[in-house]
Amino acid sequence: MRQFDKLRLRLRSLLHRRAIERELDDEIHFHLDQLVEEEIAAGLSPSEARNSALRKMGTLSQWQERCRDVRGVSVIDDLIRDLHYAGRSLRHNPGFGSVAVLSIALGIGANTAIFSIIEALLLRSLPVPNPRELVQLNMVVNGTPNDSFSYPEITALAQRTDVFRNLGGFSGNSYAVGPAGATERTPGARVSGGFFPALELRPQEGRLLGPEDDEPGAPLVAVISDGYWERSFHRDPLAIGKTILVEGLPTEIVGVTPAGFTGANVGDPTDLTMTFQAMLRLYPDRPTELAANNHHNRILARPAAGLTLEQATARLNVVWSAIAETFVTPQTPPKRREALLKSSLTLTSGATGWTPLRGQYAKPLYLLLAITGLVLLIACANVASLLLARCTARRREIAVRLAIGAGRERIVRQLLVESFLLVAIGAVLGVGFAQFGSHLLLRLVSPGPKPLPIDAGLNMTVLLFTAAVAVLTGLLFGVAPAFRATATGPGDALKSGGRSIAGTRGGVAQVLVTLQVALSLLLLVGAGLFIRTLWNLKSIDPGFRHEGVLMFDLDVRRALHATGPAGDAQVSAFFRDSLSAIRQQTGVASVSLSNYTPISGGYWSLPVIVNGKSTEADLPFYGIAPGYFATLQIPLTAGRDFTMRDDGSGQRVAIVNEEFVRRFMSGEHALGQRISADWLGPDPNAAHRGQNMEIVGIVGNIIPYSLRQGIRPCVFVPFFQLPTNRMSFGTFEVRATGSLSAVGSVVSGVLSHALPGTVIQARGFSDQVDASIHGEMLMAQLAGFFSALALVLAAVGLYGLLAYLVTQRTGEIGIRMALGAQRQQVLWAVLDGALRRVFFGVLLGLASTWWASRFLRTLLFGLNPMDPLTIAAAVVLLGAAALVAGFLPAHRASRVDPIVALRCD
Amino acid sequence: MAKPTDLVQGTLDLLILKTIALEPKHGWAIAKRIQQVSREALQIQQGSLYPALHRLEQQGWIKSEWRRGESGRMAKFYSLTRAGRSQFERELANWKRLSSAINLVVQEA
Repeated sequence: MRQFDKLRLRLRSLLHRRAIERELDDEIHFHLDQLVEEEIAAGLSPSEARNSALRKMGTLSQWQERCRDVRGVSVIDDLIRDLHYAGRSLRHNPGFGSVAVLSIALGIGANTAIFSIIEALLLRSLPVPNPRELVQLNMVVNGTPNDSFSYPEITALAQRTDVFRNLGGFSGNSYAVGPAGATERTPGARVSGGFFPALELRPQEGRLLGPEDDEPGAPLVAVISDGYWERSFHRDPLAIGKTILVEGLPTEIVGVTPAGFTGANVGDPTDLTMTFQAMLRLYPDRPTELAANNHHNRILARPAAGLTLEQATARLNVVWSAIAETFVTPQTPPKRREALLKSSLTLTSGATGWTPLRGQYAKPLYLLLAITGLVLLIACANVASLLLARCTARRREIAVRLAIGAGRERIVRQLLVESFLLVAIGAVLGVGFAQFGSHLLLRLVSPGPKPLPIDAGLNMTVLLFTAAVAVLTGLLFGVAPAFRATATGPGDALKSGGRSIAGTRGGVAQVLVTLQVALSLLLLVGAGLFIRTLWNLKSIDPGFRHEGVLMFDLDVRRALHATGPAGDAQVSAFFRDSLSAIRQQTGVASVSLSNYTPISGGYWSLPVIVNGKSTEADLPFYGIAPGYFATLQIPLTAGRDFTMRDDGSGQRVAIVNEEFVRRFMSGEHALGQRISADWLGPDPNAAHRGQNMEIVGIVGNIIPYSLRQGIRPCVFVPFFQLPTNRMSFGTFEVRATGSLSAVGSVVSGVLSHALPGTVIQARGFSDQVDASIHGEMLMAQLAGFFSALALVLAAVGLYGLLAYLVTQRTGEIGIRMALGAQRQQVLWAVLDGALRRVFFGVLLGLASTWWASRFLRTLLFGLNPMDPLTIAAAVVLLGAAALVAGFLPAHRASRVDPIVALRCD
Repeated sequence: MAKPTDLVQGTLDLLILKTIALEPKHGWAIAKRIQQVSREALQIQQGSLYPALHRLEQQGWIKSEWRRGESGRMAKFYSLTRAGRSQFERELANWKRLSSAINLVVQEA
């Protein structure tokens, strides 16, 4: 009750300010009149009595103010007055205001933009009840965690209800939806029966998938997303129960997931979800889809009620060793066997779902946030120096206000309000920049032509982050100037007025400039390292010429709807016929075909048995058609290329690269040797196991995986030697002699003629290689951009400080020159001060670079984080900028006319 | 003259609460009454009295009302609220404990 009364009183104080003021006034006048009456009664004349009473009362306004203070009104009252005042003083000084607001807006905008992506990709919880309960399972082998599991592993784990209340596996898939000839690629997911129960999602319409849908022979059913329901069915409730064609098979839509839920795979939105068991029916050509050696599913689960993470992990591992043993069969490859038996399971938080983007982008994004954070710091330092300079200019005003009785804290408060007004405007502008910037950034960071499907819009978390950054920013640049401005007593400030004595040299401002130089150096070195990393990667020779090569990716089996042995023949014939058809086109220098391409992100790797010994590592394999080496201009150093007769009917053959020979066949004559590899995995049909291949050629080295990983021993096998029932994907490589786009459309025409209804797109091989270093390119660009921004800000800061100091010291310089100082000496005196700041800043920057270098090491390539060349270049660049920034004020100082300077005071 | 700051911390509140415990009074009367009862030993400065009154009102211990005083003029009269009465009793008990404790120390032989 009392709390309520208090609130009522406070509200009254706020809302009826005028009435309260009048009451206060009346109350005091009543008191005054009583005092006057008393004095008159004591025998004074009315006017004397009044004077005496007023004397006794003291400063009326002061204790009226104290009454307001205890009512808590004055805080808000003052704030409003301060805001008016701050607004007015900013309007009077638009130059200062706009520079300050703009630098803050840029700093806050950049931070908000990057944070909004971090939030969307790394921090946002799945839109499910109690996301914090969700755990993700990882299999740890020899200390390396792996989040991928096979379907049998998922079903075995899901049965352990003593550990998990519910457990579900999932992975992405793209479904062809619609009647033949008019199918539409629909992004989707395949999930185990426990997936939706584990997420505890409530359907928006109909029902979601459950364990009964993931039984062998269960009817084909699908769950659609809210977005798909909207786009394809206009939210028609009758869509539930409707039958659509998925991969040509009638499938019933049983439900709609809630709005906002786009699957557990963040950044890969799901429109259509079906069960794993349905895959066997949809894709009869993929019999190993649910096999124990097919690890492409992630697991999310909720631990059984009452279990802590530790207890669940402990129980899980007891269970796991038993489960793992059941997966070890005589066919299990030795490596997998070892991995299974030595593995343990760990649980990590599954609240944010799963995405491969995380591993790829987490570190660069946090690094970018750090970079933009530093830029914001530099901007803060700039605004702080501007404010300091302004406060000095306003010393007289502040001194007057102190002298007429304003409390120091009152003035500090007012100056802080000014700073926060700057920040508030800057933050609002910054959020606007961020809205624009995060979309730009998303487009930039996305390796493909389409931006990453991440919803990086503004939301509560992002706005809270921005608000926190803004408050911190305001404190950072506002507090020091406010306290410094009021540090001198009113007497001192009034006495010295606008004129400064040699003692004040802007101590805080000097420190700020040093700090700015240090931070800029840190950013410059960082940018330099990323630029050199990119340079190093770009100058690597991958061993093949990708310039002028076009690629066409085809899933021929699907495009032809080919099934069964007849389909196998059809697919194989398509590849053969297309090779010769493309070869005859004008502008085509050579053409080839392969199942995988180097530096694509995808690969096929197997252990190879050489001289009866299996290689320790899996080696990259390529199934290639004749002409591959000619098309990619990989030199054939010995032996022969494949021919169309190498189709597996005779002696199986292989070509290896020089690295393979060096590593595994030292000193031996490689040509004619036999190697074998089990390229189909543990196929129960052992006909293809342990294939014996004769090495018929040796080629130059190529980089198979990524430019960073460099050359590896590689094995090439004939494309047409692959069993025809496994042929389905292929990439045609075409070396063009003329314009790439002309050849691209000619070849696309040939292929789409053979595959009507299939969209065929040409892409440049060089684009694929560039895409592989997209991240590095991005870091180099963004770090370069932000460090350039930092350099400009620091230079402006230095210029501002020196210009201010020179103005302050005009009188002193005038005296010096009157006493005979040369212009050169004055010039140097000013520059000397600047260079000293820069020197200390560089030292500090080098120390911080050394400290920060540990975080960069893994992102760099071919150079050390303390690369002397980069550091030297950064220091030179910074020094040059400092000289330019310092020269202008120094020059102006040297032009000071002693007579004018001395007269102006 | 005893300055308000010379009063033991918080005793001004106690004096005010005590003074208006019997009947509502306006600020002037409160100051006069304290002066009288203390035989001129305590002089309450207006600069302390009014902020204290406003603070006590804000805390809900006293309430105010405008009415005609003995001279016929409108004045702001303060009176205790229920919460103020128990607060007064608490402060009084505190004061008794404190003053007797101080007496014990300073009057020790």
